[in-house]
Formats: sequence, C-alpha cells, structure tokens
Amino acid sequence: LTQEKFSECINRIKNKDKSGLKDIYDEYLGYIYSIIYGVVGQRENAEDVTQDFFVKLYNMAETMELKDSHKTFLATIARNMAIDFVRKNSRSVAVDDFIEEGIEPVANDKVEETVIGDMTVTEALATLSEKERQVVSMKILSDMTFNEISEALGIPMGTITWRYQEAIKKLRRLGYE
Amino acid sequence: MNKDLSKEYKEAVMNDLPDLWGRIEAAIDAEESAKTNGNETPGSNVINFSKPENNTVSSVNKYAVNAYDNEPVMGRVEKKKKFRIPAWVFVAIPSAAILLLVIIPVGFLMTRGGMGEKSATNMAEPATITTCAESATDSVVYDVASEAASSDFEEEAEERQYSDSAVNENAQLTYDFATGNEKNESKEGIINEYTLSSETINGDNFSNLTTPDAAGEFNGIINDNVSVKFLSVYENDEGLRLADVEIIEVLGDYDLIPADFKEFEEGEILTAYIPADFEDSDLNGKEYNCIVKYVADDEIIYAIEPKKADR
Repeated sequence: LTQEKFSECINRIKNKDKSGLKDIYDEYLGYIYSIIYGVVGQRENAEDVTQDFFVKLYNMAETMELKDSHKTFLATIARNMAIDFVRKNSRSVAVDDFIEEGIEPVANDKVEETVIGDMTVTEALATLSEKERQVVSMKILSDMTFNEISEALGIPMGTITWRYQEAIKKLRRLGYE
Repeated sequence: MNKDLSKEYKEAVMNDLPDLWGRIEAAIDAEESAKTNGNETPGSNVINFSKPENNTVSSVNKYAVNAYDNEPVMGRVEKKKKFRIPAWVFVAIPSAAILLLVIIPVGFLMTRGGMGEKSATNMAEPATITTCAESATDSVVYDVASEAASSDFEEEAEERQYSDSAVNENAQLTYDFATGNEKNESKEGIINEYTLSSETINGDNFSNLTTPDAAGEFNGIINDNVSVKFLSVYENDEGLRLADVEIIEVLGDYDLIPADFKEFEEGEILTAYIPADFEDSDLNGKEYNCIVKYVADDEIIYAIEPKKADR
C-alpha cells in the first residue's frame, strides 16, 4: 500500500467503515502475522495477537497521526503487542518449554545422516530446541535485533547470541544459510 | 546446495496464513455493541445482571476462541451466553455475610467493653497520683528533688517520669484532675518537678542543639555542667555527628535521671551526638564544659552541647 492509499483506508475506518480495515488486512496480514508469530512462536497465540492487532488498529484510527512509514509503524505496534503477550504469558510459555524439553532433540550424528535435500525449513527448525527456535524466529521473522530480543525475553544478550549461533550451526548442517 | 533460511522460513509462514477476518469483524462488532449499550469495557468479564445479553457478548474471551476454530464466529459468541457463576462467589458471599452478621457486631461490642474498662482505669490513675502528691504535701516535702524526700516517693516519681510515654498521660490527667482542687498549686508544683513539660523539651535549653531529627527526641538535660574531653569526632551512616568523650569532672547537678542511668564517673567514656553547628576545626583532645542531654529511643542515649561560654 502507498502512504496515500493507507491514509485513505484510515479515513474510512474513522468513518466506521470496516472496508478500510479489510484493505489493510488483505495487504498486511502476512507481514503482521509473521512478525507476531516470530515473537510468540505458537500458531494459536499468534492468531489471537494478530486479531487483537487489527482490532486495536481499528480503534486507534481516530487518533492516529502518521509521520513515518506506515509499514514501520504497523510493524512496531505488532512487535510490541507480541512482546507484551509473551511477557504476560511467560508462565505458560515456561510450561510449554518444559513439555518441549521432554521431547528428545535430534542428535547431531542423526542430523548428519539425514538426507539434507529432503528436509523442509519446518523440519529443519524442528531440530532446534524451543529456545533456539524462538530466537531464530524473532530474528528472522520479526526482524528484531539481539538487543531487542534480549529485552523482550528478559534474557542476557550473550545468551541470546549464543543460542542464535548454535541454532545457525545446526541449520547449516542441514543446508540452510 | 545451500538454501536460504530466511526466505524459506518467511514463505513457509506466509503459505500457512490463517483467515482471521471473521474473528476480527466479530470482535469489532462486539466492542461496538458493548459501547452503544453502555460504557462497558470491551472484553471485560464484568457482569451486569441487568443486561445479560450485552454482557455475554462483551465477555467473550478472545483467547478462548481458538478452542472453536472450526466453528462460525458468531456461533462462538452465542455459546458464551451461558453464564457461569464463578466458584469464588460461593465462598465470598457466605464469608461476607458472616463478617457482617457476627464478626463486626462482636468486635464492636468488645471494643465498647474495652473502652469502658479503660475509662475506669483512667479515672483510677489520677487518684493514685493525687494521693501520692498529697502524702508528699503532708510530710512537708515540697522539694521532691532534694534528698530529704522519702525514698518511696522518689521511686514512684522516677517511674512516672522516665519509664514510658504512659507516664506523660498520667501527668496530663493529673493536671486535669487537679483543676479546682484546693491543693492544686502545690500538686502542680510537685508534678512539674517530675514531669518534662513540652516547654522544657522545646524550650531554649534545646534551641541550640541542632543534632538532626534522626538522633531522636531529646527528653531532657541530665546534667548542665560536665567537663569532658573530646577523644574523637566522626559521623555515623546517617551523617549525624558523634563524638567519643571522656568525663573529666561533673560540675553541675543532675537534673534528669533516666531509669537505667548511673551517675557519671571521672574517666568514663561516652558516645554522644554533638550539634551540627558546633564548629571547631579540631575538637580532638580539647576540653569543654558541656550540657549532657538524654536522647530517648535511640541507640546512642546522650547528646552533648558545649556551654555557650566555652564555644
């Protein structure tokens, strides 16, 4: 969407016309969803936060004043909402981690044996631990810096970079750069 | 062959995008209807029994919607119309009833009973003090500070003076009680000897002592002329000035004797607060004639103030 087109959509929303929101939704659902998914790391929660994002956009349209690129603006809101969600639900995330850790990760020697060409990105990511996958998702999908990830998860930046490097090492063995 | 992780990952997510428009639209509609039907917070679980339909719609928990992913959105909203009373209500209401019907009335009655007892005690205490004062008057011992006063009387007076704050209450009661009494004047005179009045505490004797408030309340002068030698001067963690002093000679009379106090001895070393405005570049090793004051409720119970003539 161009800036003008986006402003026109916002004006329609101000007039309680949901078609303005629908146009933004059609254009940016993938972009917003992938940012949120990258932080939240779980499909159902990502859907919930994405829904909240568009409802919030609808409600805030009346007072919205765009100065910079609207795409950056939307990304910032989405990322912040996702981070808030993760912080509020850190307890349940911890439970998920526990369950996840109960699953034995693919051993390195087995990875070597896997036929690299057959492995999809989803399968490759499944070889990572939940914590490694979270950092990779936030970095790649949500386009966050290590510092932002560190602050969002409340984990030291050294740990974040170490997890990311470990994850990238594993993914390299599977043919992903 | 190397594959692009970033590109493939984003594509994988994009290919699996959910259709959320129905949910978003329903959520917006629910919020708007909630707004038009009252000023309820969208999505809140506040229950207004007068408007059951609106509230059930507004109380849809958006995060619970996932459990019904395969159902139409509005169907989900309708399901939420079955309102369930939270379990805590069954505990809270009986508890509140018990509190209102039993605990508060009993507490109120007990408080009233307690007050009655207390007032009876208050009546009794001044009478005791008066008796004491009268006995002192009868034996023609008005100067109770003198050694001629009976030992019983001294002990009792000391107790009343220094033991605790309740003593001051007693003294105050005595003033009231004594008003209009024919021996009023003599009693007041006696009581004044033993009671630190607010004038004494806040009066001129203390105006120069600028030790910070944290040092505690000055409850009176122990001795108004003691020759001391400053051994060391320093500040504590709170920035209050302290000094270790050696008693050289006790020149004045003891005015106030705390309950656990023994008279100063020559050579005795005290730690005491010193005034903040007492400026002497090097106090160490110098001798001053000082006023020694008592600081109640503090770890350090003394405050010394060099006499003006010596400063």
